[in-house]
Order: sequence, then C-alpha cells, then structure tokens
Amino acid sequence: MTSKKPALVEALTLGVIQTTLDYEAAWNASSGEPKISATEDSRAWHEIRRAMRALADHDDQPRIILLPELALPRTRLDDFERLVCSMNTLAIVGVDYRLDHRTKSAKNEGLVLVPKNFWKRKPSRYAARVWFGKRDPAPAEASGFNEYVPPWSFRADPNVYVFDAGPYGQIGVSICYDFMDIERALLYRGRVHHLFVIAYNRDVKLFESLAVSLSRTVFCNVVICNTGYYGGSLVVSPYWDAFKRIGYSVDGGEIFTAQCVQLPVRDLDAAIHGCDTSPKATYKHLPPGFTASIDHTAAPPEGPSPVIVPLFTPA
Amino acid sequence: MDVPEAEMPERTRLAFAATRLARVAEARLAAPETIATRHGGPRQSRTTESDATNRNGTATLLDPFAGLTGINDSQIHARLSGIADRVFSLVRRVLHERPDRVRLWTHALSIARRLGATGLNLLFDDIDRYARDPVNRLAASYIRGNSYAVLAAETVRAAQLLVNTNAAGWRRAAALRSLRDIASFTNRGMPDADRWFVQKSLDQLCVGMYCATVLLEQSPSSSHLFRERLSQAFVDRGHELLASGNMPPNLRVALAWWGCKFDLSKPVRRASDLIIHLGTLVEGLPESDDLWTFFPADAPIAPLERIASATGATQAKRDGWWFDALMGRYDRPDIQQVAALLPAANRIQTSLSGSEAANLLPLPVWAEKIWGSNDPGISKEWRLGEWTCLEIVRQAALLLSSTAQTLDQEYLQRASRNDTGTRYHCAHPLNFALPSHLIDTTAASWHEWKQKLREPGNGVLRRVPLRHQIFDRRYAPLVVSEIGSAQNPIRGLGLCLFALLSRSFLLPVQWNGPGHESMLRHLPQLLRDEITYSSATLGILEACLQPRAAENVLANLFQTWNPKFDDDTEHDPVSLIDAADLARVISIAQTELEANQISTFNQQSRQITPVNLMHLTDVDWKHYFEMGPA
Repeated sequence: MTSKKPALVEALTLGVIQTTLDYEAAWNASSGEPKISATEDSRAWHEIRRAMRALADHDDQPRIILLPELALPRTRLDDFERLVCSMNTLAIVGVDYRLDHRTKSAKNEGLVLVPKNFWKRKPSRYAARVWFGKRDPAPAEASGFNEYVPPWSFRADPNVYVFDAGPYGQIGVSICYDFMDIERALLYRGRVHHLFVIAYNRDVKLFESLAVSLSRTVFCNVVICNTGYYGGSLVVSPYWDAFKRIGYSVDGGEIFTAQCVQLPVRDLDAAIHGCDTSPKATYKHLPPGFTASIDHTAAPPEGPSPVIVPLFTPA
Repeated sequence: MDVPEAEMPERTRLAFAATRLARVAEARLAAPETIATRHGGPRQSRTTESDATNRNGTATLLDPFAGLTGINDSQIHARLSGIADRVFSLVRRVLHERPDRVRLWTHALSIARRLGATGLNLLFDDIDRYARDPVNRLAASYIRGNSYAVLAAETVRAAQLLVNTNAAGWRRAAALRSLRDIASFTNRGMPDADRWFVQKSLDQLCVGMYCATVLLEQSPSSSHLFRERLSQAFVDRGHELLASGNMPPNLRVALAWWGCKFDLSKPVRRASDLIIHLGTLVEGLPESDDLWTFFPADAPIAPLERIASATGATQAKRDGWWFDALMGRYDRPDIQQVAALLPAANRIQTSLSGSEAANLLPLPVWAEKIWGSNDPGISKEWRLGEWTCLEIVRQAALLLSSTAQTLDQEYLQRASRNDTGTRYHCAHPLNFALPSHLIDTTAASWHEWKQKLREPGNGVLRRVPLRHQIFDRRYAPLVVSEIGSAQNPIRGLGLCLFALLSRSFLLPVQWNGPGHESMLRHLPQLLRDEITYSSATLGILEACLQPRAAENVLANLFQTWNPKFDDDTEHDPVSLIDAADLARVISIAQTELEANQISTFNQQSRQITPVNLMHLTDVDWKHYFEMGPA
C-alpha cells in the first residue's frame, strides 16, 4: 500500500486522569445489573469535568487524554463527547459495562473519540467513536458477575486493536487484565509506539513491573492509567538512562489527579527501526528477534511539527 | 441590555432571551454539585453515599429524585426545581406580554419538559384568560390545539427518558418532575374542546398519555418512581381511540403510527416493546399491514396471513421481506401455515429449514450456526471474524462478476430493449451457500483456514440453484437501468458484508419501507457503534452503500470530456465499477489484515484490527485503494 505517512512529532503530550471510582459502591449486586450507581455516576462525572478543565488550562494542551477502565458512566457519553470536541483532543477512555439484557451479558469496553476536525485543528462539534473490548475478565470481575440474581456473564472481544494516530504514532490498547496476555504483547511487538493500559487494578506493583519489562520487550512507551482508588498510574519509556525511564508515577490510593506528560515519538520510532546506535544511544538495545512492522517514515528532523493552538488565547 | 429596535424587535428579543435562559438553566441542572459547594453544604462523604446505595431499595422508594441523581439532599432538589420553575414563569411572563408568539407557546412546553418545570395548569389558565377577549377567541383555540398536540409528544418523550437507564440522572429527574406536573394537569378533568381541531389534538394527547402509561408499565424498575398516575379518563380514552371497533380504522392506525415514531428516531433492527404493543392493538385491521411491513421479524400471524394472501403490485420483489419474517421462527407451525400460502415464502421456508445433512447450507443458516455455537472459549470466534466476512463477500463478488457483460453489440441491444422483466442476480445472502463441514472443521492456523476457504481455486462459496434464488428490492440498486448494470450487485454485496459483520441479517426497520434510501448512509456508523472493524473495511462499506459513490462513476465521465473539471470527490468513497472491482478492493483490505495475524497454541488464531484514526474523519480513499483519478 502506498500511503503517504505524515511526519511523526517530536513528542506527544498525553493527559492522564485518575478518577477515584469506588468499585464496591458503584457496582452493587443488589441492584440486579452491573451498572454504575447514581451516586457514583454523578461523583465520577464531577471529577471528570474537573480533570478536563485542569488539562484545558495547561499551556501545553494534551493531544490525547486517557481515563481509567470503567471510569465514564454510559449516561454521560454524549456530554463527554461534547467536552472532548470543545477541547479538540483525542480521548481513550474506559466506559461502564455495555449490558445486553436479553442474554444477560456485559461487555467491558473502552472508547476512542476522534473529533471530526481534529486533524485540521479546527473546533469540532461531533466526534467519531471507536469501541474496543476486553478479552479476559479478571477473576474477581468474573466472579462478581455471578453474585447478581440472575447471574450476568462476561462477553469477550477476541480482537486486538492498533490505532494509527498519524503524527502521534501507532497506539496499542489493553484493558486491565488483558495487559497480562502474553500473546497480546507478542502481537503488539514491533507494531506500536505506545501501549496504553486503562485499568482498575488493585495489585499496583505487579503492573508496575510488567510495564517496566514490557516497555523493553515490546519496545514502546507503556502508559498505565489506573483508577485513583488504588493509584499507580505510570509512564515508562525504554530509555538507556535509568533515571529517565519512569516519566510519571503516582503512588498511594484515593488520589484524584490529572497530569500532562510528554512521550517521545520520533526518536523512539528511529530506535524501533534500529537507527539509534551506540555509543551515544538514547534508548535500550532492541530485544532479540525484534522486527519492526511499522512503515519506516524517515521523518525529516526539521519536518513541519503541528502548531499548538491553545484553547484560550491570552487577551 | 438595550438592542436597537431595528436590529432585533422586542418580541423576538424576549423569545430569544427566554430560550437562552432555558439553556443556562439546563447547564445548572446538569451540575448540581456546584450548588452544593457554592452554598457551603458539606461535601458528601463516601460513608453516607454507600449507606444510601446499600439501602438502595428503600432509599429510592422514599425519594425517587435521590435514586435518580444520587444526591441525597432534598434542599438541593428543591433549589433545582426552583431554578426550573423560575425559568418557566419567566417564559410565561413573556407570553403574557406577547401572546402572539406561537413558536414560544410551543417552546414553553418543551422547556417545561426538559427542565422539569411545574406550572402547566397556569399555562393553560393563561390561554383561557387570553381567550376572554372576543378578538382572540379563534387564536386561543388554535394555541390550545397546538399545545395539546405538543404536550402529547412531550409526555411520551418524558416517559421515554424516565425509563431509559442510560440517560443522565438529572434528565430523568426532570422528566419525572414534568410527568408529575402533567398528571396534576390531567387530574383537573378532561377539558372541553370547542372546535374540531382542538378535539383532534386532545385525542392525540390522550394517545400520548396511553403510550406513556404503557412505557412506564413495561419497565418495572422505573414504574415505582412515578407513583401518581396519569388521569385514568385520559388513558382510557387513548386506549379507546386505538383499540375500539367504533373508531374509524384509518384513525386507529394513524394514531398507532404516531406512537411508533418515537421509537424510530434512530436506526433499529427490531420493533421495540411499545411498537409491538401499539401494533398489536390494531393488528386486526387490514389498514395496519403497511405498519407491520416495517417490522417483518415481529409481525404477528394475522398481518402475515393478510400480506401472504394479498396479490398485486405490493407483493412484487418482496421475497427478501419473507426471509426477514421467517428467519428467526421458521420452525413454528403457525408460521409454517402462513408460509405455505405464498410460493416465495414457501421457497424461503424450505431453504431455511433445509435438511441438516445437506452438504451446502445457505449463507444465513451457515452463519447463524457459527454465531450460535455458544463457544465457551473464544476459539471459534475468528471463523466469522472480519477477515472471513471479507473473504465470503469477495468470493460472492467474483461469482457475480463472472456473469458481467462486455460492451458489445449484443449488450447494447439488450440495454435498448428496456426489458423490465429481467431478473438480476440479486446479491441477497440467501442466494449464496457454503459447505456445512466448514462449521466444525479444525484449522490449526490462519494459513490452513485460508486454504480451506479458498479451495479449490475459486473458493468454497456457491450460488444456490436458480429456482431457489430470491429477489429483494432492498438489495437491488436504487436506480434500475440497463446502462451500467454491472454496478448493480455492489450494493447488495455491501449489505451482505454489513450483515455478516454485525452478526444479524436484519436490516434497520426504516429500510423496509419505500422512500428511505438515505438510511443506507448511516449503516457504517450504526455498525461502528456495535463492533469495531478495520478502517479499510469502513472504506469498503462506504463505497458499497453511499449513493454518492455510485453516482460518481457517471460524474467522473464528465471529467474526461471537460479538462477544467473541478474534482469535488476527494473525500468520497472509491467508485466501484463492477463486482470484480469490489473483489479487488476487498483483497487490499484483506492484505492489510493478513499482515496482522498470528496463529498461536491450542489452535487459537488471533487478529490485530488496524484502525487508522485519520481515516475516520477525513480520508482520501482513492489514494488508499490505489485508484488515482479516473
């Protein structure tokens, strides 16, 4: 396929939001369906709006925003779409279960929102929606569904998705427990620049070590956007220097934060294609047997970098 | 603020201000927690919240508003409804000064429903006061009639919102307040209707009340929220209008249609509970056949029998409709009796129920077997994954293209004969068949599965014998012309692909009636809301289903005649000339998928779905599919 690739940007500004949804309070077996409760719904929506406002106030507005697994109630989908369009950023967010009342099955999904004029950098009114699902439920999640009367079941999405975000690089996604799926990691190897993990994960340290190791074996930026209820959101890049590797990390539970972080794109792409060689290597060596399946773009270093248009121009 | 009269007349200004104000109030209602913090109320701590949810059953019974919005503070709710009421009384004040603004009378009712304002009684008192001036008598009747009709629709919408668990809590709370207000209005007793058109709107209001009651009754989880009932007199009158034999049949069906339209604003595949309920009330009337035509999969026996035994033009080219009607229930004896009435239906009945031992199964039966195999793991899913769906449609396209004609003398003769009786090879899924052994056969890897599907040579897909083939207007092209007939099967093939990907051979019900061609444009989006497929497949679906894509084939001819051609088709889907062209484009999409497949242990084959986010908004499909300007 001959398709002209846009030059990659130097760095991608990412907005990582941790909301403090309480699983116990939000999904209650007594309600008869795995649907976020009204109290947690309004609380979550309040936090999401506060976080989005905080990110919009940044000088360097994020181009992609992440929300943890199950963070967005389905009742607020349209409102959130409007919010994302007004900021004109991509959003990759975890959404509350999609319920099928006929078969009593629930799907755990994430959503990618692409504002219609995002690439033209003009304000948009509508956004294109792309859904991606979770393949394997966490054991606690699966047994939680059985507590409902009548019991609900988990519906898996067998596919693995790679989103091509043009100048921002190739993006792999996984929802929480799928992060442990070694075949998924194999599929992503050499195909992505970034791996975004949206999670509701209690064992924070496990995900931290996974992120550190996968960032070297898959060779990409790994971003974990975990729920603020447990904390532990993390950004890891496969830098040579140990002190640079962890770009951002939150420790401690019940913390609500929204933070902008920079992810390397162009240099990393060069490293993936084996152009980052010693002695002055910025990145770790490529793992054995690594082959890049991303089209080599050979981006000119002085390539036209996208202009940052701030939401509010100072008067 | 003073705006010169010449810029904006005062009455427009007032109406404009009122509607703007309603927007602002809506924003306030949507953010109730800002009120709590602004007035120094203590921020709710988690403990009280979890208490409230633990006692979920009782807490919501005590205060439905707390259950809907999750805010357990009656003071805040009082303040919110105060905001709504203030806006509504302001609108009433404008109407008091400027009663000639009919649009604003209409807006007032929708504002009341959206914000959940109370004061309908006062609004209708205003109309009465207005009517006291003899000059205004006719105008007042007009406004009253208009208001009843608007209120009828708003009642149904409020009930829809209240039972919709995916609507935001504050919207449902507003709908509940508004329904309570409507109940108190109806409980004043049935108003008199002084003119025929007021009576007509009043009847509509009664039907609206009936629909709202049905909606609330059908949703037991929401009905306890609204315990005060809408006035029984209104509901009974609504039921009478729909179900009584004394009413003119046309009116009954028209009112049933009016109620159905509320559930048809978005593309849906099956009739909703409300539509089935309303339709069943009129199913005995032959006039209801047109209504049931839209819902083949849900039509009861009586209309099916009438449609089957009807003769004439309505029956023509409707074989595929019977496929929709029979698909899910061909094994029921009563349905079998109906199917026996009509040769076309009978034919479909036999091919659907066909002997289990048959070597070849029709595509829908084959696909349903895989979807319904209820695989505990996920090891079989990929058998009808995106790649396989594309492969089936590619083989179908190749089958149909082999019969394509070349532009020679014979072709021109046939084209000029204008023979309308010609039967095209219609790309209905039932016209294709696949070997049954593929359903359970083991394939250790993607490679093996591909070989099995593509053997020998052309592939496994076959066309069913001509006597079993059916014709379906919906799968046929919009413009039937002999010129360029090679283009004809493309749309049908696109619909087949849509059906395979979305795992249902039912098309949106709106598509079942004539004159709803614009429906096609929404299919790729509809599909995207259900599952995710690669962006290349999106391009193929658009090329098959967008009317513009087919028109561009002719429009591009102009380009060859006129050098100063201004190309406005840059962002249009690729134009496909014939089925072979479609097969070529599909193989491009398949190549991309194949580069992203791996086979792993335990015969698990896995697929990466590549989605280009830039292709979702604006894309140069021609470049992608290597077309170049024609």
